[in-house]
Amino acid sequence: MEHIFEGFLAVMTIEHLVLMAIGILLGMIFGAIPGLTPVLGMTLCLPLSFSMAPIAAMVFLLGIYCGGGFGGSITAILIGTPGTAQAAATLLDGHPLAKRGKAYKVLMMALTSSSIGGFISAISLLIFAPVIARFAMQFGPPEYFVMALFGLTIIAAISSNSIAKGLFMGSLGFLLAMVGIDNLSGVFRFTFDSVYLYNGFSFISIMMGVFAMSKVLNEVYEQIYNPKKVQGIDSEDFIAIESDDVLEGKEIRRSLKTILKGSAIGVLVGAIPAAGAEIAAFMSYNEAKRTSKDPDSYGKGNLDGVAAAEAANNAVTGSALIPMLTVGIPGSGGAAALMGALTIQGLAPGPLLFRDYAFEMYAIMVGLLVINVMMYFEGRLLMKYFAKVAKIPKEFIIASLVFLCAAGTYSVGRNIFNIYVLVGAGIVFYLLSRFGFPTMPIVLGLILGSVAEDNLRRALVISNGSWRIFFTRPICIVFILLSAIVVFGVIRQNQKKKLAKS
Amino acid sequence: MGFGVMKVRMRRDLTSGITLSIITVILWMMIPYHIVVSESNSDAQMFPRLVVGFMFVISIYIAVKSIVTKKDEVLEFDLRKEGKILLYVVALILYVFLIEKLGYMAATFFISAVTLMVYRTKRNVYLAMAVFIVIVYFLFTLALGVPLP
Repeated sequence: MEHIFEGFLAVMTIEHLVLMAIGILLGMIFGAIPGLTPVLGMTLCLPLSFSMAPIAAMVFLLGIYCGGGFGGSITAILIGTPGTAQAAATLLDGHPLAKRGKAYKVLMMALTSSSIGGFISAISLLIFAPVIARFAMQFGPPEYFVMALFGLTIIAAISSNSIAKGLFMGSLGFLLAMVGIDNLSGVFRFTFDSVYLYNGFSFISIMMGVFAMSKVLNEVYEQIYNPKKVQGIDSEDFIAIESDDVLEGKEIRRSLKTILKGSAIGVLVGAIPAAGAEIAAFMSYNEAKRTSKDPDSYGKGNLDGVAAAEAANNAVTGSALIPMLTVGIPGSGGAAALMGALTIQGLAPGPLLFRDYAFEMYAIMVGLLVINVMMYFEGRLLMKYFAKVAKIPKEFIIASLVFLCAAGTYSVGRNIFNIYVLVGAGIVFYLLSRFGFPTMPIVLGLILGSVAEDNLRRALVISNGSWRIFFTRPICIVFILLSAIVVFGVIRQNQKKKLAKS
Repeated sequence: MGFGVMKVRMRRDLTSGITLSIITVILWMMIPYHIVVSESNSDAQMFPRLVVGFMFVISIYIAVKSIVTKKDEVLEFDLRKEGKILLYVVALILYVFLIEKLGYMAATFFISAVTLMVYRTKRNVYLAMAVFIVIVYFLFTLALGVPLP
């Protein structure tokens, strides 16, 4: 409790509150523009965070992370196009209700349930992260190696229809992480005698290449192949917000059970690496529909449907940070970006973080609570303006991504080489994505590469070179079995899908 | 692979599986030259070999699966359109080169104009873009203290 109070005092400064507000604003903008994602927003803003102190950097990025969750629902409700994939479930009932002249009421319900979901998730992080970190203190090198493989396997399995392609990309991430001077032996690996590669590839350059530059190339490809498809959103596509249709207290009370249930689903799903907000939103939506007295109204305009989806997709935010902060396994793109920021700030994620940097950790976790409260008021105030950002011409956004990434990646090491890496990574991952290879596992591979390798080598030193060490320790066995179960489960599910298709 | 008029068709997984298996073999052969070890630190090559070997096995699996199941997706490449995409890729590489030679702002005007030309956008978007580029330049150099080249 003492830590929480100290964290609260540390986070409640003018500087932090302003950064949170800016972060939420940027997150909502990135979430509201169809095609852009909060993760992309966080990636673009990562270089800006380097000059900040750790708490300031993290609350700024967390603001983007949370704001983006709600931002996606604005366009889903008003124009019937989800700004983010996680807002797709919100669209099902949100857009029909908006068409009936209840846009303001629906947006308020989305905002209220998002804030409640996010708040509950932040509390779960505050409660469970220190407990899990204490448990993770027992982990040794074999456990860390198996955990890294577990995280990567799950992400590879879930992020693509082909587990093989996901695993290939994860391995490619491992390979990229090896470039530079070897941590343990000091040997130069794939540095090609370039001084720029002695410390390996810049994480930011690769991440921006994967998320932003490959997106630019994919959009150019779309425009060249299907020029008619890519068009701006006209004013008549928007549903006007009439602010006299207020959300009443009794309507919130009626949906409270759904919101709380959705929040619990979001918290649980979020803690599983790679499961993500989209899955949580649909699970919560289906649960609300299943237990509703009027299930037929779902999909036609039921306020509970919006509450269920939004509570769950924002309840993922806090719990998704639990595996990242406690054992250093980021379960999502957002968590990966935050992990990158923490690492650059000198706070390497893992159980020791809660022992050595307890003050910063509690400030960041309390900050997440504050962000969710602030998001409610900021969203309420600026809601109608966010809707307008979707009108920005797509070509303007695509062209801006190129030079914003170039400036951002240059600012990290102040060298042009990073921009070459950015463009190179963008081209390579664009080509791979055209052949059906998912991009997400490569980011995780890049982050987990050194964790996996260093701990594998340390474990083999402990065991005198015997690989049996991984099959004799209980925690290792549990995670190996879990990995196998997930892989076989996903393979069976994919086979079923293919059978159903054919 | 089949050739039509200005179009190339290829089986997605077969092509990617074969290409990536060749690349991984090259990587495998590069390891002793780019990770030079002595007896005392020979384990610096172990993990790269494990990973590259695993990538090779997966590449072969992807290619073989395509041959065995015959359910591979066929990708069609319109060479004229691919040429345009290639030109854009060249423009991106040229952009980095121009940043080095002419500086960030001039090079950014170039790449933004190229990108907007792909979309055949209206003139006012060009103007808005020019203003935005200047704002970003001064934001980085003055507000954030990052002297862009």
